[in-house]
Amino acid sequence: MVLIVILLILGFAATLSIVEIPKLLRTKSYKELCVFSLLLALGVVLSILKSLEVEIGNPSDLFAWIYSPLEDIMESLTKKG
Amino acid sequence: MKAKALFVLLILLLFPLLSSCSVRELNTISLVTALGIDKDEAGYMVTYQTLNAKAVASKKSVNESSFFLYTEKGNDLGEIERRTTTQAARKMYFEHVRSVVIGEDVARDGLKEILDYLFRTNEFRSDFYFIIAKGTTANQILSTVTPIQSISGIQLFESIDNSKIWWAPTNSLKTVELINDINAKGKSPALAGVELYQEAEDMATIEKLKDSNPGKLKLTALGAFHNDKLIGWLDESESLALNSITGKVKNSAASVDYDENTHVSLAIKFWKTKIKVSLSDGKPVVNVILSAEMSITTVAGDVDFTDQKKLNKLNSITNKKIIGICKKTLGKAQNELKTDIFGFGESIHRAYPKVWNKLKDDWDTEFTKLQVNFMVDTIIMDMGQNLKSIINEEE
Amino acid sequence: MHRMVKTKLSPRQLMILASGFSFGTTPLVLPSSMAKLAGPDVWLSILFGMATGMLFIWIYAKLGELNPDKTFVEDIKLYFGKWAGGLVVVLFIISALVLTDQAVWYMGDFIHTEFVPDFPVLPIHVLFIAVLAFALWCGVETMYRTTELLFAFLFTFIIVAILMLIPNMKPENLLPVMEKGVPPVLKGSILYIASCVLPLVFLNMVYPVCFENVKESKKALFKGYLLGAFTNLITVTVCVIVMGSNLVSNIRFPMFITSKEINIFVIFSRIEAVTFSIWMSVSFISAFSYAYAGIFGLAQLLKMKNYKILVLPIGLLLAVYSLNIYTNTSYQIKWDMTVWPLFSFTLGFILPLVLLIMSIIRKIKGKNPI
Repeated sequence: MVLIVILLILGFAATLSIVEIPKLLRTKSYKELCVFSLLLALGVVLSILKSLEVEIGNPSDLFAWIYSPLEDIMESLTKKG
Repeated sequence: MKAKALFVLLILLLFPLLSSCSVRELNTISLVTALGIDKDEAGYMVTYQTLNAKAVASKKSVNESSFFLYTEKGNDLGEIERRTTTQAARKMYFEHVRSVVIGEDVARDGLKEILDYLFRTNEFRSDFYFIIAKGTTANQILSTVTPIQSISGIQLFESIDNSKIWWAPTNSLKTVELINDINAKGKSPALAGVELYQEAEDMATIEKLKDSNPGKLKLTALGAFHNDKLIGWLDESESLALNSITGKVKNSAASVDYDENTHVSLAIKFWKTKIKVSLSDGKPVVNVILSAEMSITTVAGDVDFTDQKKLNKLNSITNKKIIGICKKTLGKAQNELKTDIFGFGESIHRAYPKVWNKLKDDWDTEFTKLQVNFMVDTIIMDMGQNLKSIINEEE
Repeated sequence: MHRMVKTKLSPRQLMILASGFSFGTTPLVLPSSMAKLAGPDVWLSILFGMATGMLFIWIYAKLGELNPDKTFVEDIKLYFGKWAGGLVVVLFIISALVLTDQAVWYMGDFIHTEFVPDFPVLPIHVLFIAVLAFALWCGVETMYRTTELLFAFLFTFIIVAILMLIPNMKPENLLPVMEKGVPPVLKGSILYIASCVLPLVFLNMVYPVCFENVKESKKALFKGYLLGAFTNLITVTVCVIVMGSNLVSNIRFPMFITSKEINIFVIFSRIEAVTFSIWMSVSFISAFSYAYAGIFGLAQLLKMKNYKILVLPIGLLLAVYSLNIYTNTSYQIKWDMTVWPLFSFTLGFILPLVLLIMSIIRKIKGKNPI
């Protein structure tokens, strides 16, 4: 199951690269190429990690951490009634 | 263009995943029409009344019962539902449940757990009636084959729907209303009861339908609850009073004695209830105003009601009688049952929240001291097809 | 001025999208949190929130008017400078994408709870994100035109569903009014503003830039917001009228359960799938608005020529994180109650307000060069 998912993701990434990269090279948009490859690589790595059940963190936690000092105030404010 | 095609291909590739969705084909589920819950040493004993499609839907008459029962015991309802797969060939499908019959012993223990299960899972809808099995077990009720509508779960549902309109003492609640009534501090619910009527030996077989007067299920008057526990039964007239005070009556019948020789039957229509709360010395007083239109259905006697004075007298006798029944029911609720089944607490809550705040924690005792005034205003609109009694002694 | 956007939208499309966005962020879940805070006075909360919300909308509208050829991200970069602005923009983009993922999660969670509990959520998320990616790739104009089409059918369904609930309505569920005084009403208003007004800041990525007539589009923003607020008012109030605020505050999807109660002449019953389709479309509009803000913002930050190239990689990231953007239901409830109001106030009030003040200062300075 995990293997299938990893293969699917790699297949998806490969297809995408094959379609997009030649286009980008043709128009000499190197910045776009960089960003695209970076994001795609990030996505593939993270999804493979996720399917191997490695913890990859939660962006919502980032915001919970930013606002953590005010958390107690909010809890008391939003109590029932 | 190529990219568009690629997109479409990507999406199409995902569709085969959908076939592994938990799609349920008709021949892999069994439709449950009613649920019966009784008490057992292990916890609960649940009876599932499932439809037998062969008997109901086939063109040839099949000599099978139109429903089958599966009974299972266990600790809690979710576990029992899964355990039933050891007996049943198919998984139960609960979206067509029409009634849930609860045994009296379970009702006296409390409905909290049952209601949480029925409302939390997504398999049940909320459009069935709750009924209490009186004097018998839910299993017995559900195993009865009833005439005309042979599936007793559906028959109970339709019976309640009909008698709600035509015979006021019966009424029952669906899930949302029941939960709200139990949760509200100022109201307790009242559910209809069902009992075996004209009990016979083979009530659970279709053989008995060959008899023209088979045993049947009969809806009785209401069972009064305190929060979520059953505590007592009302009789017919008390249930009528309860339903009229809570504004649930549409049509009903009443019979009055006009004088020693004359007896009049009336049909009551368009019953309206208004509950007004007023304060006197900081204590709430509830005024219940009932108004209805009536028509005379039978006159057993010689009195000629075309005379306006006699009609007015009949009117006031009827009013007095209704007030009498209401007061009797209120007395029973206040003194014997000690539970507010009328919802007066909620009316006070809505009208005077600050006063309610002081009373709500001890509403059971406060309710017993509550002063309630009844005012009945009825009009007798018509007398049917006769003017005087049809059999009269003409000189 | 670097302007890669050559899209042209009509003010009416903005109005429809604003109403869908305002209604769509949490229509299925909002009644339950509001009923918990405000009890039967939810309608008062929403009315008050609607009125106060006009202030926030005015901030967004004015900000757009003063910087008519800049998107929100470009505003931040302009007024905050290169480095501070860059940081703020990065946070903005991450917020936008996190909110997209949350919208996807709500959808998946709803389907999972109500329809297919034994089916994993990931394929549902992937399907949703695939359609989202396609919409993003097609561009803003296409999406806005689609919204116009959807709107007619959505609005009709909502009205019909509410009319069909009339037999089940119990007006006494709205009494007693203001039983515990004003504070619960205010708490409800805060939640309402956080959920249905402040997200409209994300429309500032689209609003001033794509429209020729800025004044008309300003009016459209207001009209759209009011329409969305009105729809919210009706749906939340109907939930409470039919079910009672006690029950509503205790269930997870009040609007869905309320529509299960529809039962007219036996024929029109069991039509809650209609509510589901309304909610899915509206949720899609909301997810699109957030995602477009995030991806377009990223493209502007990095000064890319075209944002479309980024759609699929970010789609993959969205799919990966959508599974645990809310770890589980209790996390979701807690996050929504404690972090979300602060989060949306920062993004939707403090940030645009600061930008607006700076815009006004710049305008004044520009008129009187010292």
